[in-house]
Amino acid sequence: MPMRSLVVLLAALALAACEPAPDAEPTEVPVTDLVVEDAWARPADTSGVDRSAAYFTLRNGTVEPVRLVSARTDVARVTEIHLSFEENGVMRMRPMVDGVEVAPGEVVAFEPGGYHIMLIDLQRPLVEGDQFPLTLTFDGADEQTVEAEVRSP
Amino acid sequence: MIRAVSFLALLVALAGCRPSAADFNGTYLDPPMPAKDVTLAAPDGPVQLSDFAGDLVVLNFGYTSCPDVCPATLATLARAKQLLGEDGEDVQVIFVSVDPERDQPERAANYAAAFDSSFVGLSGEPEAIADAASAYGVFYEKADTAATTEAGYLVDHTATVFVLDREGRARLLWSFGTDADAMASDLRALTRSS
Repeated sequence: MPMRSLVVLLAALALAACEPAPDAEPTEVPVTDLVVEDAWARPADTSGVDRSAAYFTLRNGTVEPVRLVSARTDVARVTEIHLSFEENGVMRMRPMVDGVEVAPGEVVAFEPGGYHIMLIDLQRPLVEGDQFPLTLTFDGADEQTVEAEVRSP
Repeated sequence: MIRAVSFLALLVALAGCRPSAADFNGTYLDPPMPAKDVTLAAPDGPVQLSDFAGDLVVLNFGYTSCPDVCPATLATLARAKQLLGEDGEDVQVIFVSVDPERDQPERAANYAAAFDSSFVGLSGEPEAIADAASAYGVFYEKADTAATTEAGYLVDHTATVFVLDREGRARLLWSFGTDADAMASDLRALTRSS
């Protein structure tokens, strides 16, 4: 293939990759939701430890970014969004005071060793097999209450 | 090219013939770290790591107010021990608190035992904890997050798990996230070789 055709082809490909999808009528944009899946929390026996963590997967099916800004549940007096991360072999944990953003079409997993909802000052023991309501509040989506299952991962 | 490939194949075949670091999912230390004895505190008195000589000791550091990483590690260790069944009888998991200020010996002991009744949880005076941590190159420090969390202070710490051989020498390191099957397989290999 002559060099010039190759360049043209590459340019065409590059352009195709950047081109937005053909405009749809706004009303035809499929209305999908922010989905909270597989919510669970680690068992905790309040006799020794007054805290635990809750996990879930956020699937943003909307066309706008959605930000998880807070969580609440009646099993803990305080809930905070935290991130555990490893840095030079050291595990660190930090509160995510601005919440966690999920880009349109993206999935963010809250899982051990990563994002989690820290449950502080548990109001009752979390026993394997129990369920409790966990309410998540978002910027860009409606609040959702899901049932979190108490289990070991 | 053919010759180079044959030579490579031979090397690979030879490497498979004798036990080596490749037999372990964790990082195999050969030679092992020299044994380091430290004295810590259990609810009913001082405990030395050397008290567990003869067992395969699985040593991990953390703090009981840690909701995510520490329970993840201990729960995985509990599962690994279950997977081992009778082979796990001489595997002793020891949790050492790096938060002596909040973790009294009893709290550390209860915390560890909640994951498996055989697990030992130890704490101690701040100096003793510092000695234990430095013996294994474990880093820990309070994180400066008091202004942004109601959890009290958080503690940053090394999450590596150390497996000590029956003479108390560190033989194997597991990084955070090693799964229970990998741990059980490594412990079986160590049980057989010692």
